[in-house]
Amino acid sequence: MPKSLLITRPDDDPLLNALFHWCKPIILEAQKKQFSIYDLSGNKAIKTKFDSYVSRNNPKLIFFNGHGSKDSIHGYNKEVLIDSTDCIQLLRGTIVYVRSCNVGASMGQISTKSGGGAVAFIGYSAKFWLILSKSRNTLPLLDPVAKFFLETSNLVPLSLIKGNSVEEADKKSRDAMLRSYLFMNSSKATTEQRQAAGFLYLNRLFQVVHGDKTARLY
Amino acid sequence: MNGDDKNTKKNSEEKQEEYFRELVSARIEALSDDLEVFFGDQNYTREELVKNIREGTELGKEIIESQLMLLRDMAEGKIYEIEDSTQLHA
Repeated sequence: MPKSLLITRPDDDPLLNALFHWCKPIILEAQKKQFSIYDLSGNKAIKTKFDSYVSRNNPKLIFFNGHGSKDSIHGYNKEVLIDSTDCIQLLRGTIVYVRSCNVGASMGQISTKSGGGAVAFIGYSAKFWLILSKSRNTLPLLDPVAKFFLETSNLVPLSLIKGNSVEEADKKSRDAMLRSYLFMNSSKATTEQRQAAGFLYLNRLFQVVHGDKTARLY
Repeated sequence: MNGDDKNTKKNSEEKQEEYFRELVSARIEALSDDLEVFFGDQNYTREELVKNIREGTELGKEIIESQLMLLRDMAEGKIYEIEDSTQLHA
């Protein structure tokens, strides 16, 4: 079975722009592991393209970045890419990681509960917090505060791409969030990192897994 | 429970809510000017977050609830429940 990754990463506001750039390490790792990569970036993250890429390429890992609600995941210009009415069909047989707000609460359950939808679903059951440093807005990958939020959440797809199980990927990410939280509260951290620490901890609290925790891509 | 007891309980709950609002507001107000906070679908200034908290909007309530969860975990020592806490982030 070929290894494949579909990634959605709209970039039409500052939050999405940060997520967009922080997907690059994931794409690089997937390239190293010889995944087929379907990258719906920027204004390509729209419903028609998403449906088409899923049906034509049958990706095994889908990594959504964007805004969301309990029942839907959004793409470019907040267009709904997938909602609770079509998630079972579109996510069938996939491992899904959604870096957006609330989607882990309802859609995560719906898309995995019947056994005919997603194999596993990792997301957030509440709003996702992200703190950026204004002085590094033009260089998201060098943001000394955002990196703790995005490096640690990146560990979910990175671990999956490296062949870890869903449970291991979730644990590596959550452990990294806790280590980062402790570092950010240490004397080695900057004032801004210390002030942002509590918000990172909340992402850890609300990161949830649905479906088969033992599943892995290969 | 008689009327006086109910009033006392209500007053106590209101005082507690007020305390939480002020506590969380103070944490938010302490944030550096250099930090931009994204919560949900949009970014907020410190002043906007504090306004929502003080006015008791749904967003404000959500922020208070989440911050209280953090404080509870701190008080209960859950934040130190990691297998290898020596490997701090570089």
